[in-house]
Amino acid sequence: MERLTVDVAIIGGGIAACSAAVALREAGLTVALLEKRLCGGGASGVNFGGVRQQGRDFSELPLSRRARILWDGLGAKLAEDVGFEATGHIKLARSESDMAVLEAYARDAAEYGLDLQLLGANALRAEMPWLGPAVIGASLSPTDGQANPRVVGPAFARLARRLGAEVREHAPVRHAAHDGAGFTVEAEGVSVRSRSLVNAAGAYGGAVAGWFGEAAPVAPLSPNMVVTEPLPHLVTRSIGVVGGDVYVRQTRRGNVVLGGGRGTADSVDGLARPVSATSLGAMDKTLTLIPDLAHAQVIRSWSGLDGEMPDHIPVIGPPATTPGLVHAFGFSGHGFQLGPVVGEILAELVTQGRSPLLSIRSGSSVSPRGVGRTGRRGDRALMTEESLRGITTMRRFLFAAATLALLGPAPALAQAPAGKTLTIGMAAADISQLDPFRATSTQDKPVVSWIFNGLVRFKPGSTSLETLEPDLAESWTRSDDGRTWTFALRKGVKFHGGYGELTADDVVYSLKRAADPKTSSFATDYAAFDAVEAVDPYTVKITLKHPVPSLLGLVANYHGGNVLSRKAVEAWATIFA
Amino acid sequence: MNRLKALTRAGMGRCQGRVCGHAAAEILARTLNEPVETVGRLRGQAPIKPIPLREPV
Repeated sequence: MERLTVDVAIIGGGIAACSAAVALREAGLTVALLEKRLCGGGASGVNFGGVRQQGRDFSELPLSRRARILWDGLGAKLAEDVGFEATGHIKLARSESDMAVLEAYARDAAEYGLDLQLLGANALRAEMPWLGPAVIGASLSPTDGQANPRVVGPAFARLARRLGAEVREHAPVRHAAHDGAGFTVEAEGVSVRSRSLVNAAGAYGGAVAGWFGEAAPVAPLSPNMVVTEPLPHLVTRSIGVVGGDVYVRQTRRGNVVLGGGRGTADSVDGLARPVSATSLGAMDKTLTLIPDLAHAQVIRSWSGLDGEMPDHIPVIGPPATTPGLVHAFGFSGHGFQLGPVVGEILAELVTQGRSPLLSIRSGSSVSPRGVGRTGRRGDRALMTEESLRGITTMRRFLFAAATLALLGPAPALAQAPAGKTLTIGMAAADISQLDPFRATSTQDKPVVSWIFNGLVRFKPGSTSLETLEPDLAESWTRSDDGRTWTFALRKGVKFHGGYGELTADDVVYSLKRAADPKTSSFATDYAAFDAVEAVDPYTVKITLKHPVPSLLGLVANYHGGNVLSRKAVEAWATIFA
Repeated sequence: MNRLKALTRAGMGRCQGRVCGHAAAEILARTLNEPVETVGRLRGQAPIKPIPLREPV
């Protein structure tokens, strides 16, 4: 067993961890970094490779702005080519309401110094004539770009080693503890004593926080990625869409990388796999954006494991429980671009106890960083101390409860006990929409999850399809050929707002709406649906074109599985469109 | 082999290691001076052969 004594131990070997090792060595501290497999091989290495500020939650934008400056000098700093190119990031609108979302975001982003150019159909066609007819406008962030995620993490690890950091790979950490004088970190083959500890353990960051009395509800998040053979250069920008259900870029070598939706992940054994149906769905969506790619050959798909917080905002900062401990995890699928600045922030937190980018308030729980510190002007709500307290309260609550129970569907649709109000702050000026079949943004999804239920639900605290449990449906059967599913609805379930009892008609209406590309961003998930019928007011029958083993996932309380009140939607048709 | 792939992108081209994989394993084994059986093999990743973005009709 190797024994090391250092100033700072780092758990994790992703870009955040390795860039922290670099920054701490530059500050003159001794560092030991413990990675369970290979540095940069986790979420840092398997992601899309977007270097994007546009579209980020405003609580993250100041960090992202600072990170973007670091990206300019990253190749020189690492003395390696990381494939960074400022190709611009363009976010496409496929409807007028998408365009309105882009306009609102561009207006607010300007207050953070991020200049976005709104392009109408004609300007867009002039610049990118290869875009399909489904695209009606866009928002261009000219300073954003892309890089090669395969090389960035390992390059940071190599620089950390050159600077004298003790980097240990294949050294999974079994436990860490604080004994009043310092930390002891026990990893496979190595034991480290340190004064400070950085928790940059990604999907496992919540569990590491738990060793110090504040477990965090980090859920596994697996991107679903696909890549084509190298093609002549066509896709000049990194591409995203409003709703985020598909993203596409073309590498320097010519491969087109595309993603959308999620793979499957098992955080216990650390394995993640892409899902074929999801890959095919992302390929279809890509073709609606770029029809010329029809004959491009897909050569590989992949996934990986990231950690997602319930509010999709990473945890960066010191907890109140343990002096000397600093967290940076839960990047929720958008940590790649932030990586270089996270190292800088972690080093500041370790050496000075604070970071100008975070505006940490003393005594706060796991800090929500400098969320929304930039005041807003004009008629928009000011991000006040009040709302900041709200955010901190949410973090505290989540940490104390260490469960997602609050974020699941309301326990009873109509009979929530009257009385106390729980106020939860969110780092957003406003929701952008509550249509569960359209809501995909960071701020909208949790709100949707509080409002709607599905036929089945994810067990509170779990994102596993294995443990789905009855919700609006109390039981179900599946035919022997797997093509017919029959659900028996719970009786007496009332919609909010006096819209009456839930019946099979509402479920049929909702699933059809979820399957229709005109009304749903998740329609391709339902491509195998042949018919959805109400057998009687409390029985719904789904007939499939071919068996779908994960069918329950499509009728769960997530995205298209949420059930709407037909009456309510029709009554509010003009605004709920 | 999977680390070799991450470092060099051998096995990430059009053949996905189905053609070059054995040769790469032999080279790796010889460089490490170890039997070829010990250097591992590339993890399989869908699709098993290239497929076009649009399903041919």
